[in-house]
Amino acid sequence: MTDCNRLSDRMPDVVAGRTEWTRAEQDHLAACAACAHELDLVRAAAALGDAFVSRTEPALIGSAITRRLADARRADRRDRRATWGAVAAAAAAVVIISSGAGRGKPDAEPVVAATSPAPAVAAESALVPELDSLDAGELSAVLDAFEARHADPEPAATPTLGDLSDQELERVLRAGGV
Amino acid sequence: MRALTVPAEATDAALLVAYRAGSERAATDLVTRHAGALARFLYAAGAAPADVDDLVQEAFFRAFRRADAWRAEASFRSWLFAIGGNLLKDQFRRRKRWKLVPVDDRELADHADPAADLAATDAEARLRIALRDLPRLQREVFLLRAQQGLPYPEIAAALGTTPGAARVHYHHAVKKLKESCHD
Repeated sequence: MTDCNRLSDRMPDVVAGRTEWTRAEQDHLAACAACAHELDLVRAAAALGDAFVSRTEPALIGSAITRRLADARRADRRDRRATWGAVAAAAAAVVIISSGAGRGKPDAEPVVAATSPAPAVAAESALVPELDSLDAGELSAVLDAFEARHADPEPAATPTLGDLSDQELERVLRAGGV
Repeated sequence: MRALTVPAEATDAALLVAYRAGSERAATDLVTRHAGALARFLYAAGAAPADVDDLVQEAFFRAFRRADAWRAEASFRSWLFAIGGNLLKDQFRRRKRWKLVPVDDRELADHADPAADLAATDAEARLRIALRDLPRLQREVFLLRAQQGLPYPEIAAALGTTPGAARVHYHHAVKKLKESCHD
């Protein structure tokens, strides 16, 4: 069988009924075994799965998908709340620690506005009302993480004279009057 | 969020906008409109009949979850088919080898002529096996063109190639299928 693709590009559209063969194309099709074979192939491909699809239930699939989407949206909202809760708790922890550190210094700026007569703890809580939405477990987890980070800080790199280049070492020694 | 009212003849793009605005009905309409064609595409591309419904559901789920990523360069349908094709590819990769799909009673059309049914089923099985042996891009281009009737520019947009390259893939696929399916 010779290889002929003269009608190839139009075959899917003709098979789908979007267009029709011209007279010349019909004549070619009648005389060209390769094109006739290709037309059979495209027809078979166009019909492939027709019997299978008749047993598919789009309505059932649709309801299953909308249920899954609703579940996924709820899960997204939970995740967002947890993330914002953690961020708020971390911010609260920073404020608490900053204000605690400031209290020991006589010239420290007050963290809470002087107009608030409430005790310090209440004022700190009012700064981050998001804390109220956390349950005890979430709050504990956030604070544990924060404390762990401060209890085990990354070791600071302590430079030694051995880390310096020859030029840097020379500058240091000259500055020290050595 | 208040759901939009969607007219019965709404375009896919309008339905997707409505879905983003909270309309579950729009999502259901899109599923009803495209599930059948997607199932046929996946079946023809080599999905086992028992897996087709799950693949269809997963493809729609991912499409809706990633609705913001649809840029309307390709139609919603061809974009959906591309997602389905990727899912099928992942499934094949997980299974490491293609499954030879048996032709069982579920796939037989309900005709009065069993001999004609058998011949039709045999031809369909041969075509599916030949399609299975094509490179993925050739297979998907061929099915999107010959089975779904999509034009080359739309196929190219969905599969991330050019219309010219899609046309070349189509012709390669046709040549190989003609050789494989020739009696």
